[in-house]
Amino acid sequence: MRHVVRIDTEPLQAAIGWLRRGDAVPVEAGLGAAWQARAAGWRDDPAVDSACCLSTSSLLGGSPIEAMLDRLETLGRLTQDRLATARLVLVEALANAVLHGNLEDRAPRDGTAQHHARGVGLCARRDGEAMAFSIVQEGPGLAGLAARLSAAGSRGDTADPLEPGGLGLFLIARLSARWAVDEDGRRLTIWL
Amino acid sequence: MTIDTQLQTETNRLIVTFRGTMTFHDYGASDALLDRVVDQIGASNGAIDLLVFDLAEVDLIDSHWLGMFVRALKRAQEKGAKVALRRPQPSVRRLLDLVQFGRVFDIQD
Repeated sequence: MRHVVRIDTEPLQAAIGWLRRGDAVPVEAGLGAAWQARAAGWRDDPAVDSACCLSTSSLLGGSPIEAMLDRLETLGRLTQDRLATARLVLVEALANAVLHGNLEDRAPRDGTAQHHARGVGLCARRDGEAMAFSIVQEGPGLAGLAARLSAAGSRGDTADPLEPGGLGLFLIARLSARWAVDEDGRRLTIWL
Repeated sequence: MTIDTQLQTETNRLIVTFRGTMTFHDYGASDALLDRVVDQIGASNGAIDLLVFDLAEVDLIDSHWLGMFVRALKRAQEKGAKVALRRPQPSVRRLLDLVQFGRVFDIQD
């Protein structure tokens, strides 16, 4: 039986433990009721294989992505090639949510306690033959994210590698089967 | 920190060896490393004319660090040095090809 667990000591390491076991959706204790509700929704969705909700401060110290992907590998959801792609794309999406979303483009050391307390949710859900990964943040929505992803995906082979701006979005757009932006730019879903 | 770095000089080369996963979690480390590398090239008064990033023990590089490589290239060139990316693992090599770094970096397998 899967359940939602509130974790309040060393949240990242605790979440990684729960994600590897695969029988819970861990939620960092300091996050608000909305995150508990979101986690409960993921818990109740039988297509969800792995999910967690952590604060920005925890995610600046490390990543739950490896544990989530290890779980998906155990379940046989992704081939080795797709796992490698998922790893890079999820790192880019998480960086986008943390640095540009919750921290509003501040360097981590310049973020306030309020910025660092904001949550990020990650969810891996089966969708037919594909896996859909959702990354949700609670900062101001990223205005124009969909337009910038569209533009990044159409960036041609003649693009100048010496102008690396938007490279993260380029990698997301180019390496994913498709993507969607919801919740006023706070939720990015990537299909692999 | 998810990445370890080691600097060493060999005749005309400054070699930066990375070990681990190069992600945004090392946000501040990349800028500090870049400053240190450029300072070392500048202090050599032209004796160092090649900056090598050794990637043999790196399993993932994200866009933040790719951007650092580009900044390093621009600043090293200002000091008269070239930049090479050495021994990328196959998955990293595919990434470097995707972002077309071979057009501006010397990539040494």
